[in-house]
Amino acid sequence: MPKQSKKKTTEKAAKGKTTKKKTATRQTISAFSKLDPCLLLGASHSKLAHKLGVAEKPKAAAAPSVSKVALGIRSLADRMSTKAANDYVQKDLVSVLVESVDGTATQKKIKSLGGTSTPLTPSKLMAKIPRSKLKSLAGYAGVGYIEASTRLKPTCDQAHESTGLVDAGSTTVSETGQGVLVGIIDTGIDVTHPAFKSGGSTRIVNYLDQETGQEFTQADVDAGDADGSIDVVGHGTHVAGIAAGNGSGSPSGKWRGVATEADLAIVKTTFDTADIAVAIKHIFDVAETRNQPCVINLSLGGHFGAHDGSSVSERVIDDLSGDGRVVVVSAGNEGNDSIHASTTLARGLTPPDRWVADFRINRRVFQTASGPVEAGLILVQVWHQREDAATISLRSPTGNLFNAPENGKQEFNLGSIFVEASHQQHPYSLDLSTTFFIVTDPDPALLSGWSVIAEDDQANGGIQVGSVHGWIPDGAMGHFSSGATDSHLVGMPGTSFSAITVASYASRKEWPSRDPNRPGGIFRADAINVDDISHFSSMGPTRDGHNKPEIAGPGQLLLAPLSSDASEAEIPNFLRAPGRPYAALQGTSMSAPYVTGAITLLLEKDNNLSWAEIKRRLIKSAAQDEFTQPCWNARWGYGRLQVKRLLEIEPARQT
Amino acid sequence: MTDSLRKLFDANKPHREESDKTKVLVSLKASPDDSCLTALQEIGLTVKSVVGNKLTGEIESKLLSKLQQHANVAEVERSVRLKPTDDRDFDT
Repeated sequence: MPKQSKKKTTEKAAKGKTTKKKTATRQTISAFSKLDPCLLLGASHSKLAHKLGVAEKPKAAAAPSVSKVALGIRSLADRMSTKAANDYVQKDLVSVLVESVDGTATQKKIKSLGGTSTPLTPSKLMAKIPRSKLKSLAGYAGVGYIEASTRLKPTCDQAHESTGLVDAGSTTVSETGQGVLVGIIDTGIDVTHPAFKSGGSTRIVNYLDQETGQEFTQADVDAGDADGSIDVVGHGTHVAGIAAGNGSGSPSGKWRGVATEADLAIVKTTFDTADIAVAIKHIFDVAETRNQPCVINLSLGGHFGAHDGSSVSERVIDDLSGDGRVVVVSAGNEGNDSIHASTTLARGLTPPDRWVADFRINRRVFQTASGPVEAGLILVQVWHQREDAATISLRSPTGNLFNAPENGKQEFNLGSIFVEASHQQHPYSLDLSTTFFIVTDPDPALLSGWSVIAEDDQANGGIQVGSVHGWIPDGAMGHFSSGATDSHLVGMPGTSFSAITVASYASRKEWPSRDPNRPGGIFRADAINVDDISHFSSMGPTRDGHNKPEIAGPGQLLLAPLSSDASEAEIPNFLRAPGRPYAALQGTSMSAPYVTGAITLLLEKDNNLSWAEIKRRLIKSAAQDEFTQPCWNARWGYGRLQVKRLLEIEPARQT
Repeated sequence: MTDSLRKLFDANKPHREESDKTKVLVSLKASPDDSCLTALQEIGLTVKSVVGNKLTGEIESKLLSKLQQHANVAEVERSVRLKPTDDRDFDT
């Protein structure tokens, strides 16, 4: 019995010890958990001082720096009101909301700690307390929770927040695009949309419909004469709205574009490169007549050509760009498409170096005069440099080899396979292209197992550089099954030397949707990683190694004007905002006009800037982070667009 | 099937030479004067727009080689159809 008692006593003692230990732990956790995580972080004095534009107190230098705390939440500095930030920097006082079980006693405690308080309800107080006393207050038994007092902000489009155009609900720049002409060459525009009106009158000063040849003045648009030139696709209306929509028709105007007071010149184009060149000249002519600086947006592209800016259509952009004249182009959405393959052939090997890239052709249905035809149809274009002598061949699944005659073309008819092989030296760059055009029976055995082969032609001088690139111009035609790389996918005219070429990153993953199947009217795309590059964004560089894209803008699920003529087939319900003429679309088509809008603001500030100086300032002001990497790279370019910083960059020194 | 494939092939090949008109971009060796433009029009080119030494226009495909051989023509580029760059492949 005594033994048992002793044992019990020992057990009790052990339990007591354990209990005591647990209690101690709980007390520590309890005090810790009573504090808003923001308050545990503290805020960088220097950051706040910068925000307030005040001199920093010397002792503040010792304050904990937010930057040294690796937590994935916004810092207290970013969430404080100006007044609270002043108190923090000058007096080391933090504004907090305190939940208390004994109001008066807690007030006394706060006073004893050097703070002040104002009761809000029997259980809640507003208090200002020295930052160093927060833990003591949290440890006080009467306190339930201490929350940082932060400034709330109206909900606004995340894109503006991420580019710094809006901070805490307020626009950070005074420019609105006034006096600048924004040109949009696209699928047209819904001229009746309120986002493009000001004081009841249209902001569209010129509208050219290349499909009909009709041209409308601002007065024509106001008179309703352009109402027939509708945007049935909805792409052009959305693009124009991102660049320059004023947000009318959206809740509190929050889905506004970037340059809300710019003038607009619209071309509804056929998307033919010749017509696009005409459209660019037309808009710059309009700008000349109106004596306005002008930025043109091209949210379009293709992959048939040299991918080095040497096409005539791209050199037209170079010729027309100049002081107060700049063209912005989307990088393209082929980031996930295996439509490019490349290699570097080694020189002087025995046997000669050889590269094989396999591809397959998609089975498709084509509408012809004699009815639908099922077939495979593909173009494969292979480029190599003028310094190299290389033999480029096509091999079919049947084992046949096809070659093009030098600077000529030849057709081959195998009954179930038709091939045209052509070879050309480009008159401008002098580089060489070999193009294979294939139409085949839809037999699965004839759709796969195709290859392009590049070989060092030592008999004719051989390889000096060795760079070989192949493109399938459209992913719908087929894809490379070997040799594919995800680089060199910036489309044309995005490879134009003077153009500013824009990649896309994600700034939101959910949007209001009128889809009746969505609970709460919110559509959420969980696969999207906010702040990261968009999976579809095409990577550079150009074939000749130029840094493209230059910059990344927000391009995923931007909310912008919805054309009233766009069918549900073009813009499905789940992308449309409930009860508002707005929709969420994505693509580099959306990031390009965002950058166009930012350049519009820049041209308002300094309307004679050259395209080269605009590009320099975009590069100089771009933000880098753990996503973008610290220097130019093929996905992001030089980094993330920062609108406020863009407008603050000083002019380049003139020599 | 062979006939259908042949027709599909002929209608889509990049270097077709039927009598249909094709839009082109032309780079000239020098900016064109009136006599140059007249000479190009005589070949069959309908000039639409001139930008420095470059112009856009339309010409019958069978006349393309004649245009390329003109003394002031540096290169002739067929107009190609581009596409809007919005992403329709929503992964939700």
